[in-house]
Amino acid sequence: MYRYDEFDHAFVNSRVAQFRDQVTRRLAGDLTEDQFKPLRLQNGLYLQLHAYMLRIAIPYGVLSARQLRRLAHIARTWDRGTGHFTTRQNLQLNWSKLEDVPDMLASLAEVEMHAIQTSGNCIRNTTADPYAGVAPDEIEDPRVWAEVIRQWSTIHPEFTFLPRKFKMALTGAAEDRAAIAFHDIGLRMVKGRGDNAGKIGFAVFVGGGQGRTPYVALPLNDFLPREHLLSFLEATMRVYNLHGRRDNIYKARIKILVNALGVDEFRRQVMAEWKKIEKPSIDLPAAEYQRIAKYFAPLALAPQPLEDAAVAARRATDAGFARWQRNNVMAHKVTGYAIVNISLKEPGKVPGDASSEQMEAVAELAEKYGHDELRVTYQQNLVLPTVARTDLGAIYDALVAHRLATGNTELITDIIACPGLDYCSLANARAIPVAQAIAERFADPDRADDIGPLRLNISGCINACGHHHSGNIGILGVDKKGTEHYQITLGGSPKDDAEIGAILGPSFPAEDVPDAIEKIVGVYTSGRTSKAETFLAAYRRLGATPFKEALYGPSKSPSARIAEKV
Amino acid sequence: MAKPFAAQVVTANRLRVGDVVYLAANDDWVSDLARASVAATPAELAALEDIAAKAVARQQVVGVYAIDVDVTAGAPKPLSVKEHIRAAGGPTI
Ligand code: SF4
Repeated sequence: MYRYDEFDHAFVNSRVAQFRDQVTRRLAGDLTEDQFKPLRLQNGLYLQLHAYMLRIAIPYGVLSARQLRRLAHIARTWDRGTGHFTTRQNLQLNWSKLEDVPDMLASLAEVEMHAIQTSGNCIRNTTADPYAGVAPDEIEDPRVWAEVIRQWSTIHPEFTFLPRKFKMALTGAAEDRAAIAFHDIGLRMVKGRGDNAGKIGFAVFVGGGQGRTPYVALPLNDFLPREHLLSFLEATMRVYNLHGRRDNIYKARIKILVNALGVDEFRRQVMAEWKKIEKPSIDLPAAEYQRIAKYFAPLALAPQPLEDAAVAARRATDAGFARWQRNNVMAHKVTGYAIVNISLKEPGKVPGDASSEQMEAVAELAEKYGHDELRVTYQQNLVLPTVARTDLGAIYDALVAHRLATGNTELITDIIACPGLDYCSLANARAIPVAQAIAERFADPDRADDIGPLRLNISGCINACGHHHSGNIGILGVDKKGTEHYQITLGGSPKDDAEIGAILGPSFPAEDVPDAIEKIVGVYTSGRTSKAETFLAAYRRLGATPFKEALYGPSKSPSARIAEKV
Repeated sequence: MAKPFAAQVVTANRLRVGDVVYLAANDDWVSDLARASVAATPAELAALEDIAAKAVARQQVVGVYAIDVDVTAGAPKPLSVKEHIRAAGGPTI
């Protein structure tokens, strides 16, 4: 992974010192809250429902064991011993004290981490494929470019005060595991064709996002030679920075601009701007690319047999292990190795939460079996990207001991949920208790397995931090005359077939949500052509009507409705 | 017709630590909502907000606002779910 150079260290340490001084001045009364608030937000410190919350950047979701240990230590020393992994691959600490935050940031800086640009109208942490560098379906490791974007966008003087926050996602693989279609800019590494045959570049998408006005990103550039990434991003950002709506917070994201102009006109403006840019002054020199790429050099792994006799024997006799391997262990690009998903979704638990002890246990596994590598997924889970298949049994046993071995990756209990009204001051409704109730309802692992792949996402308000628009089943907390209600959407997808879910009908009170989900799942299991037909495929084939009828009763013909009103 | 004045209390977060507090008697800030001073009239609310502004100025609290409460059972109870969760001192999970 990337290691800070002298400049990085000096920069992050100077920011810690600055913030320490700003906190001192705030507590002494030399800064008002109006003066201080933008400064604390630039360092990831929010004031939430119960307390201050510190949002720590995990660059493109990549962590070392030492860093995860440090996060555990910070959570234990200055918070309440738990961290919350978010859908932005970051970590939030919900009980930070203002007076402690400078020490927390200093501790983070020691392990080359910070909380800069985790808030504010700037370019945020880039989301990346959590299997980057190890996936068999990968064209090129996107972490190199994620790091390039990190360095380019950190305190970029032109893009520190954008019309609104800006989020990018990046994948180098055939399968989209970074939800690139729901980001302001989505980047997919692709092989060139025709004149570009033999080259690798980026397919660039723009204007995706969830929230009040959800959009799937539109194609901006089919093939951008990778060496021109930064100048093209710069041109795109300039058009947005110039024309983005600063007068209306609800219309300030790039998705609104792209859709107002039309993607063709937006592209025309970007291309015109790009032409004006003196590319060599912005694009990354090849030598610098090579320098950064060295940090992400593939591990020297000798291929091993695909199957290990002891692992196969364990699978035959231990149903829990077999399920975990089937659902959570993925193919690695080197035979004999595997990618292990560590679920933070044991039914009944808070989705995405990990205690300091659990973080330390995972860090130990990374050190012992995982080449010191860890990833955070936007589904709020952790990943050991490279382990030997022969070690799967020992890893599973350690995970079981720490209640981290739930074999439910991308099943109905692998629920993505935002903090909702339990922590978030913007929320309309709670998300976590609803997630817990649904996960407990479907806690029988055989049943979850039988239902098969199903993304279920919950957000506590329309800001959609729980990505409910892209859930196969999405749940949105709404305020209905002062009570928490939940609107259900179906048919969303965050993947290559990206789609925004459609609202099914009137909302439900919290206590009715598990039953509603049960009915929706019932329509699917009784209507699927076979177990091979996923929930999403069945929904697309069947349409919304049978699901609506299951929840709200048979739909009436227009004449019946008129008769009813008379 | 003007909306009748709902009973209100004044809340904030302690600046240094961030915990939720309510303005109580003797210009004190307490974490127990039951001990909060209740404003029954706009004039009483203005007086509480005045005290709160001074606490902001001396860096004691931050993010001051008033919340509607129900006082029919004696001690004030928040009317909104959000303030109910906030007054409980932590998440409901
Ligand atoms: S979706 Fe709303 S409630 Fe949930 S974390 Fe985001 S802002 Fe808060």
